[in-house]
Formats: sequence, structure tokens, C-alpha cells
Amino acid sequence: MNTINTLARSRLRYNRSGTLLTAIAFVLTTCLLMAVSSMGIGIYRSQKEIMLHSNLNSHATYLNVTPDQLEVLKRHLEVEALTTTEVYAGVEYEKMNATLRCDEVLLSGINGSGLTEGRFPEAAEEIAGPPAFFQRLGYESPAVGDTVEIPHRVLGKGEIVSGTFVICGLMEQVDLSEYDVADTRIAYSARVSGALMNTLDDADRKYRAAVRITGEDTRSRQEMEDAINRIAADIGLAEDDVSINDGYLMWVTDPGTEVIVIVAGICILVAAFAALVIYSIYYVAIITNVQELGKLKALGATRRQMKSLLLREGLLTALCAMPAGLGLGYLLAAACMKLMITLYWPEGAAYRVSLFSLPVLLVVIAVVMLTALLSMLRPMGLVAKISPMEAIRYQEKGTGRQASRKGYPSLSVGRLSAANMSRNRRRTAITIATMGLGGILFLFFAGIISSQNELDYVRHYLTKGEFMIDLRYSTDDATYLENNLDALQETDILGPGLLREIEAIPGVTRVETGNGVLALTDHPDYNEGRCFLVSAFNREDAAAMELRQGDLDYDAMVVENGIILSYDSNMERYGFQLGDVIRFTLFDGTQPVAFEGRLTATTGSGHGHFALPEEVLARYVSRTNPADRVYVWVEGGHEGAAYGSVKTALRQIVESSSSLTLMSMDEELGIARTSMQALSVALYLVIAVLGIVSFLNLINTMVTSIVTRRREIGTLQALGLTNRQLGQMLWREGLVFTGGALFCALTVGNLLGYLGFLFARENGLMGITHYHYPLTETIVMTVLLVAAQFIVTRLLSRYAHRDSLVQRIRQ
Amino acid sequence: MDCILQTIDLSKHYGTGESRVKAVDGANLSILRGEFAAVTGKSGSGKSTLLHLLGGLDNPTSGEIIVDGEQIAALSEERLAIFRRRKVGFIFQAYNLVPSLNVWENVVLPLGLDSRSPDTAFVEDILDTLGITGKRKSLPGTLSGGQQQRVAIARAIAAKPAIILADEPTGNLDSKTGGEVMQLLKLSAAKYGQTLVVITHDEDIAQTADRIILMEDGKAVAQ
Repeated sequence: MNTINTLARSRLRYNRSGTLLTAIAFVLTTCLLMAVSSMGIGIYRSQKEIMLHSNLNSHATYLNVTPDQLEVLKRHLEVEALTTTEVYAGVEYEKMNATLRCDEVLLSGINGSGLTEGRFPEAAEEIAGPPAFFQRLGYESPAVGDTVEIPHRVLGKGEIVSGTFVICGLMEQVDLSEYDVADTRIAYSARVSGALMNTLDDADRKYRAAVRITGEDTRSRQEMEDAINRIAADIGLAEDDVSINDGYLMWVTDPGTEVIVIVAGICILVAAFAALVIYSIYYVAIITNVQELGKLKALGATRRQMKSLLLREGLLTALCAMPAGLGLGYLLAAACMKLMITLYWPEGAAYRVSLFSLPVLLVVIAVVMLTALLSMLRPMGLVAKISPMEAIRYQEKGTGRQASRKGYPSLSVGRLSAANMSRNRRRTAITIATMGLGGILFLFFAGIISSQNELDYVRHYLTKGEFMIDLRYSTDDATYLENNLDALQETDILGPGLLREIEAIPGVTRVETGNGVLALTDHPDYNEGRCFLVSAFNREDAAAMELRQGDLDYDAMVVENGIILSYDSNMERYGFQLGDVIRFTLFDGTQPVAFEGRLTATTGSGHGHFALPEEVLARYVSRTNPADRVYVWVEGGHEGAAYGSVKTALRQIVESSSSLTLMSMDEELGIARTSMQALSVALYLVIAVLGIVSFLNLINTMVTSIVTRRREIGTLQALGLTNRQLGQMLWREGLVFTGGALFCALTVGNLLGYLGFLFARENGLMGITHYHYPLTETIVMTVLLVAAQFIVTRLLSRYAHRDSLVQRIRQ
Repeated sequence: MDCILQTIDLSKHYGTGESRVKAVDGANLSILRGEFAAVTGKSGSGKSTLLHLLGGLDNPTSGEIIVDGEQIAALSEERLAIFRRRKVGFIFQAYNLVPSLNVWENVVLPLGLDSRSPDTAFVEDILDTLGITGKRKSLPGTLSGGQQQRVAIARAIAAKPAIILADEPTGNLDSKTGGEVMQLLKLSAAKYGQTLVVITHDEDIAQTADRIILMEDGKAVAQ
């Protein structure tokens, strides 16, 4: 066997260019596998650290827990940490969105917002909160010991009272300065004491109980969830009142399945693709070396020795290339993590985690060796089958033992290329397929990424125009009736006066109201018997709706009082079925009107609980203006020049009334973008990886095409083929490969991309709703492929001249 | 008859210093138009190198090569390629046919590279003379060695070059087939008025030549 080792080593040294190409393929493969898996480890560990240190380190929250149930929960053997939260009151100050709450740690272990100064409240008149809370109430520099006046409604009911509190502590706060979000989108809260809570009637007290249960380190995610539900059952809590902290459990319970699945998926893809490329490199190496290998056989090498020779060559190359690949991959992962954290994931910067994991390293090594083995299986079989005589006489023949060809009466460079491509039909097809596979995967991911559009995401709630003026209203306020939507609609707050004012703003091109009224239904459980919103839609809105169930025939719905259920999930929850007759009490202002309609279709989301054609709503609500929102269009859209000035003008209008709020396209896009970017970066990384491997494949293909035909090309040159003609010939051949690969990618890749989009939409992944063709990506891919082809052809036609013409003819 | 091919102090050296090899060393020879010249000599005497230099496949270290009145040593690579396809027909020992092209296409290949249309009647006449008319659509891989060498001869003649250079054209063939091929080569060259320079080890073939050039240590010692 020592002879085989020596032979393998000397062959590797002799076939330097081939060895180098294979080594590069191995370095890249190892590098990519290492980078992807190390990044997976990094993201997983960072996320785990963040979760362990965050305020969300509870395993679940039990809702609507009564004082008696709380007593049982506190003593439950499986509960290791327990913190209760009770809402005392809603703050009633301008449009501030704030609550006064009381958190009580019954069993420690759940992180909460810490104090920067002072202590948590103990006496009934004490309060602690973040400085921003007090600043929003008008106290510019709040300090411990200051007295503050806070208008509030206890339990969100009854009259607004003004309470006097003494600040006993200042709490940590999230810095929102980098986000440009409207004040109404920020939720503030401050802490009051248990003593204050005790002034409430026991019957009114309902707790939210955040718990950590035992066995986080030993139980799987499913076991944890089962235990959480079991505890809920033990204390007599309904399943609907259990809210499992999926985000936390996903990261802290081992294994972090989703990350592992994604990372493993990408690794398998990279490994499979790499195996294909390395296989084609070996395949070619054998074809070019068939005579030498035949000589070995003639000298007495057995089939087993031949296979072993090739295997050793492959494994030796892989082993030599691996350290470089592992090192580069680790550095790449570290650089990518740093970039990702800097750009999109500031929370990740807080914890320094190691990207290194010995098991992952061993798995990467094993996968690379497996890739080497897989890619060599067929070439090994091929080598074993070579007969010495055949090998020595070997001249590459076309497949199918073709004996003749029709041919052309005269020849040209183009016909020469065509003849070569058709002689090697199978090889041409395999090459196109492997090159095409890169493009197919590229367009598959590109199709999904390009469909992940923040504008689509925002259009879920800002369905039209660039701005939406919304009404701030209550549905069931028994004390302040004037705050309820029905009462506000009586005042015609969104009436012609306001619309004219908006239309007069320079740059506004269109103003449209959306209609919605309060309603009650006779369904016994629906919305716990409270009022909800029923909105109206027009023919244009109907065309944009994405139905989950049923059909939408607008005209038929107008005639038959058709109803759309906005949230498809409510079908099962309340036992609705398509075709059901549903009875509402609609509120025409404060005046109730009986309505009966038929459930026609469902959607995934919408404005209000149900939607009716506007003609139907108009038949029942005619006394008051049913407008509940105003959409505003701006010249040039949200990127137009007038957008900023229109926003300022609309802000002034909104600030003049306590019942109006403004939703702006730029702010919503910013929020959507932040949540989408990190994933896009990860997917673009995958795309880049595929691009590199595809490029390697292209180089291999072209090198192959020249290396295997050096003698033939030499002969053609001896017969008078000029360098220019050689360049043209190789360029044409390359175009067949790139053209074929592009065709595969554009057809199959785009189709798969569309299917990927459909899958993502069906499963509600990444906020995808509409398909966007990846035009930029397609153009970039096409240009890069053709340019790469051009450069490689140029370089290789020079490579073809490396040996003298005489040497090449004699080979 | 005028001189179609002449070399003056032609040398081709490989390597430097101790390992310097003088493959061709100051060869002077001249071949007349329509002549059949056989180049003989021992292995390593510089026969093939001389042929490659005459055909413009290799560049001389020094000296001059004049083909049909043109100094070819001074030509650029591009011009040299054009010179080869117009003036020279090559026949190699290993045939060197293009495997993806059929017999006809292989024969008309030098014309195609020169963007010329083949003279169909002329090419058919050559195929007929060489006895391979029935094989015109066959691919080279399906032909015997003798048939392949006949195709190579047809290819060398079809572009009507002034000179045909053949490097041991019968080296891969048995003596009977070799004799037939040589006969055909001479016949064709004579029929189409071409000058023939053949490298051979075969004393019988050499004896049929108009002139024998003996190479020894890179020098043309006898003509």
C-alpha cells in the first residue's frame, strides 16, 4: 500500500493545476460549511444569552388568574419562579398610551426592569417608572422624591381621577431615539404598590402570572410545553389563558431546532452542490488521465488498488485543503457576525459568545470527507473499469457509439463549436445542469427574498395611500360615552369639513374615507359579548383581498348582504361555517339597527372583525356618517417631495383633536424594515455562497473543455486556427453553457421561486403577501454569469498556449 | 524547377548551459517545387524538429526559413497560423483528426478555417483517389488506422497547399497498409503538383524519394 501512497502523492504533485482546482473546491466547501455552521452557533448562543438576560425569561404567562388560583400556583412543585402583574389603571393624559401596574415577585427568578435609582413602591401613594414616562406627563426632569399628578381611570372603567404620587424610584428604559415612531405607537408603564392594589375589591382582581418551571436544562421544548399546560390544568385555568413564551423556549431548550434545521439545510445544500462540482472535476481528471491510469493497470494494478489510489488522492487533497478552509470559514463567520450585529442586530453586541464548537467542527470535517467520498464514488468505479488496452488507445468518443454524422459541406468556427458540443451531448447536458443548478437555487432564494417586501407588510394595516388618520375611540366605555365610536360618529368628526381641510394641503392628491361602525352579534361567546367593529369595503378593496376561504362575488354580496370574516382563525374558534346566517346589531351613530347577512368568505386579516360591501352598510347606516378613518394620498408617494410638508400639516390637524391619530408610511416602513433586514442578510449570504460555488463550477467546466482537448486544439492550430478564432470558438461554447444554465435558472429557478413564495405566504413566513419578480437579482445574475464566462474564456485561451504547439500535438 | 523551401543556418536549441540540446544545428537545405524529399536519420537527430520548423509550428533559435519566397521566422503568431493553412498541409504519425467532425468535415477543415468554400469536385476527386468516398460521413473513431491516415492525407491536400509535410505517416501502420498509404500520398502529390517532405525511418520509402536528406546531430549532412 506504500506504493499506492507514494503514487498518489506524486500524481498530485504532477497534476498541479488539477490538484489546485480540487483543493480550491475543498477549501471553499469547507470554508462555507464552517462559516454557515459557526454563524448558526453564534446566532444561537447570542440569542440564548439575550433571552436568559432579558425580561422575557419566563416560560409562560397564565392570564386571568384569580387570587385563589395564585395561591395554588405559588405552592406548585414544578413552579420555580413566579411574578405577578396586575393593571391598576389606564393613564388618561392627552394621547399617551400608558398603564399603571403592579408587579410582585412571589418566587424570584424572572428578570424584570431594574431600577437606576431609588426603590420600588411600597406605600399606596408611591410610584416608580422610567424617566420617559414622567417626561411624557410633562415633568421634564423627574427625580426621586418629586410629586406628580397622574390622571387615570382605575381598571380602565369609571371616571377619570387625578392621583397624586411620589416618585420613589426611576427605572431602566429602552432607548427609542433611533426609531422615528409616532408617540401613539409607544406603550409606557409605571409601577404602583401592592398596597394600592389592595384598595381594590378582590372580585375585580385578576393577575397575569409569569412563571418559570423546573427542568429548563433537561426537558425538550415539547416536554416544557406539556408541563406548562399540565400546571394550568392543575390550578383550573382554561387553555385559552395560557400564553407560552415560544420565543424564549425556542432558544433555551436544546436543541434550538429551527436554527439547527435552517443551518443543516443550508449545509446540505452547500455540501451536495460542492460534491457535484468536485465530482465533475474528478470525472474530467480521469478522462484526461485515462492513458496513464491504463498504464498502471497494464503494469498489474488491481481494481482495488486503482480505486484506492483515487480515494487516497481525493482524501489527501481534502485533508490538505481542510485546515485552510476551516480557518477561513471561522474568520468569515466572525466577520459576518460582526457585520450583522453592527448593521441590524444591536442587541447581539451585548454578549460576547464564542463561535467555536467542537462537535460542529467535527461534523464539518466529517461532512467534507463524506463530500469527498461521495464525489469520488463514480470516478472510482470508472477507474476500476478501465481496461489497459482501451486506456492506452483511448481517444474520447461520443456517447452512444455514434458512427457517423451528417455534417456540413463546408466548415466555420461556429460549426466547429457546434460539432464539439453535439459530440459531448451528455457532458454538455451535465455541465449545463450543474451550472444551471446554481442559478436555480439562486433564483429560488431571490424569488422569496424579493417577495419579502416591507411595503406589502405595511399594506396589511395602512391599506391605501401614504397616511391614515384614525379615530381614537372606545367601544364600551360606560362612563365616558362620548369616547365611544358611535358617539364620535354622531359628531361627524371625519366629515366634509376635515376632508376639505386635508384636500387643501399642497401635495395631497386624493382623500378617501374608510367606513366602519360598531356592532354586536347574537353569537353567545363572540368577543365576550362586547362591541366590535364592522368595516365596509368597495369594489377596489375587494379586488385586493386575499381570501382564505369562500369566493368573493361583489355584486352577489351586495344583493345577499354578504359578510366577510376578517380573521379566518375565528371560524374554528366560534364554530362559524361558510353560508351561516349571522345577525348583527349595527350602530348608526348611537341608534341600533338590526342586520342579517350571510357569511361568504374569510381573509387572514382586515380592518374590523367583519367586513360588508359599502352599498350594504349604506342601506343600514344612513343617518350618520360611518367614516372611522381617512386615507390620504400624496403626490409622488412616500418618496415624493411633498411628503414631508404634507406630514407636518397632517400632524397639526391631528394634534388639534384629542380623538385623531396619524399613521405615516415612512414610520411604518421603518418599523417593518427593521424586522425584515436580518433575515434578508442571512438569505443573501446563502445566495452569495451559491454564487461562489457556481463560479467555481464555471471555471472547472471551461478548464475541462480546454484541458481535455489540448491535443485537438493544438491540431486545429497546426492546421491554421488563429488565436482569434480559438477565442471565438471557446466563447461560443461557453455561451452554450451559460445560455443553457440561464435557461434552466430562468425557467425552473423562477418557478421554484414562485412556489417558495406561495409556501411562505401560506405559512405566514417573513411577512410575505405579494409576489415580486426578482428582476434586479436576475439581471445581476445574468450579467455576472456572462461577464464571468467572458473573463474565464479570455484567461483560458491564454492557458491553452502554455505549452508549445508541438508539445500539444504530440500529447 | 524553382526552389520552394530553403533554410539558411537554421538552428533550434532547447535549454541552457549544461542541459542545452541542439535539436537542429545550422541546417542548410533547399527543396525544389514538386519534389519528393525524404528526411531520414536516427532517433533524436532532429528530423521532427526540422519538420516543425519548416511548417511554422515552432520558432527557430536562429537562421532563416524561406517558404515560397516568404521569410516565415519573422511572422507573428497570427500570420503564422494563416501561413500554415494556406501554404502547408500536415500529416502526423498519430493522424490527429478532429474526433467530432466526420471525414468530409475533417478534409475541408483547413479551408473552413480560412473562410474559403471547398472546391467540392476537387475534394471528391481526392477522396476517390484515396478510396475513402464511401466513408465521407463516418466519424474518425470508427475508421481503421490506414483509413484515418488517408483522411489525414486528403486533409493535407484539399487546401491545395504548396508543401505537404508528413511526420512518419506510416509509423502507426503495418507495412502493407503503410506501403499503400505512401503510394497514395505520392500519387496525390504528383497529381496535384505539390511538394512533399516526408520524415521516415523506412529505408524502402526513402529510396522512392527524389532526394534523401540525412539528419545527424541536428545537421543536414547529406542531400
